[in-house]
Amino acid sequence: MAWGRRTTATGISVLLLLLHVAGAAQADRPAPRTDPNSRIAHAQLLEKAGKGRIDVYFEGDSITRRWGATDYPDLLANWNKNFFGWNAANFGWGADRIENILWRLHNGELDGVHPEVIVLQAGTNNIGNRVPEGQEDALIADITSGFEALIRVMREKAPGATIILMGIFPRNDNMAVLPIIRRINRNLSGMTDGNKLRFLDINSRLADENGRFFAGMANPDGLHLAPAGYQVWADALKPLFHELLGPPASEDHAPPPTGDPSKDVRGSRPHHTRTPAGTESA
Amino acid sequence: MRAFCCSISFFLLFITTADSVFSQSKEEPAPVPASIAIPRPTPEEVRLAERSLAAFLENAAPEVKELNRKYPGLIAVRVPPPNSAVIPNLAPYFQKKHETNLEVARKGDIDVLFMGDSITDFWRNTEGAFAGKPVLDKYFGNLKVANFGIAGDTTEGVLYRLRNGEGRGFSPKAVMLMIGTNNTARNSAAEIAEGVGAVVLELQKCFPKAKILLLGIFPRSTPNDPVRSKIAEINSIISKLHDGDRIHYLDIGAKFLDAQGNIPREIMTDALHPSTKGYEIWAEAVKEPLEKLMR
Repeated sequence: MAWGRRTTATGISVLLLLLHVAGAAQADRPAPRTDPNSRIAHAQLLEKAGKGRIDVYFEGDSITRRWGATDYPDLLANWNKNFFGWNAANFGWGADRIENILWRLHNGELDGVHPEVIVLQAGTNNIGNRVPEGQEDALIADITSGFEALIRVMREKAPGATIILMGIFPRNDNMAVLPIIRRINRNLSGMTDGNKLRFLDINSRLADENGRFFAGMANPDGLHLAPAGYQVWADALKPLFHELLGPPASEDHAPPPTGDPSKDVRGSRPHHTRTPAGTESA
Repeated sequence: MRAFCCSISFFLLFITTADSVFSQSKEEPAPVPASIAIPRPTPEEVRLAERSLAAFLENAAPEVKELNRKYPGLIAVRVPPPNSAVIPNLAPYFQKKHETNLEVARKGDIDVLFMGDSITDFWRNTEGAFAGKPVLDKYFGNLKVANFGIAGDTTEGVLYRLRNGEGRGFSPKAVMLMIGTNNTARNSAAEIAEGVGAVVLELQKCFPKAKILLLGIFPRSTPNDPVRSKIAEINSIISKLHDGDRIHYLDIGAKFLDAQGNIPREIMTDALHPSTKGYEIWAEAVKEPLEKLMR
């Protein structure tokens, strides 16, 4: 059958559109952030990776980033209080989805670092605070796949490291996503091998059985942790650090902490990243 | 153009059916031993309660009617929700390890089955903080042991696995079961106990000749963590399943604690998973009971 050129072009575009829709969520495919602030931050983290001595490599989104960030001095103080002497460095970046963290790891941020321990916190920005009905199963499979990809690249870049995989923390900005978080954490719990990959779920110490944060654990946004929540996280990590690294030393040789590049410039407004739905990102 | 439309509709059909294949199937709750079942009303009893409530509200004083109008659901019949711990369900990520177990089941020739979660799973580890293999070889090397423990698993996962091939094709003389610790964040003690009971019933169905060594869930975390008392409550309920015949309940949890009730770091480095030394304590405690069950 002979097709006109226009028919063929329409047909191919429709097919491509359908294929694109079917393959829209791809947490296991590295994708860079494109905003200028994220590009600057990536450059800063590349520089950080080459400095000092890093035994504990923290990776994640803004929930991780803020803990060791110069623009959150109270959280940085908590970080130092808990981790000084273990040469811990923070490579979290705000609003990152799994595929963004994957891109950063594939593009130099873990090259030549060889940490003993990697702490990975990710996933909440792939869930967001609203999941369209009927898409939960596909989303959970996609996010699980994304975590597998993260673990693969970490093994490739730092084969000797023990990875501590954090269960996704609860969110109270929309209680409806809590069952999805639980189902993903169920999958993540099965990834542990009791040796080089550990799974750590601290949610029962952050929130009640319904997933509601205990007082003081989270910010009013119901998403980011507050100092009490960070302390719970530290209390869960420190026994593992003792086991894997021994007691903390009297000196610390990790590179100096970084912050949000957009806040470093005097007079500039803080850069809030918003998802298309207008929700706060972690 | 017709062939093109055909392939598009086929493609769309594929997307929609693929979607339903990935969804969780709805299973019925598994049966639970009567001695530990949570009391639940029958549908008829629920209907009776609802009819009585409706009659009460119809004849109630005006202020009560107003209260009911203002707060719908304040005055209501409350039916216990379904217990997820007894509805067979295996998280998708666990399928791979389940399939490995199926291969072992198919080969058969198994004397003892170990069943449970990561604490059981890591009997197979040769390295790392939770290496149980050297202890397994030392204490049980003369037995044909199959280890179907899967890290992260729950009572509902074990139920699913037993019903979907891990409970078929072989006849172990004994089964050592410990399961439930991964349910503690989600289910109540009574619900988890039902889950353990359902697993015990399923094991009896799959392996009618086997004796079951049912272990109390090991302690975890610190003495003041609420999960400790939850586990103690689960254990006190499931201890009722001991019949001295086919089901033997044994709680060795105290062996992992010091005088203050803490779990020494050299026994469980993370206060959850036994170290090699922890596995030694475990093996010492169950070696004789298991051998007795196998006679």
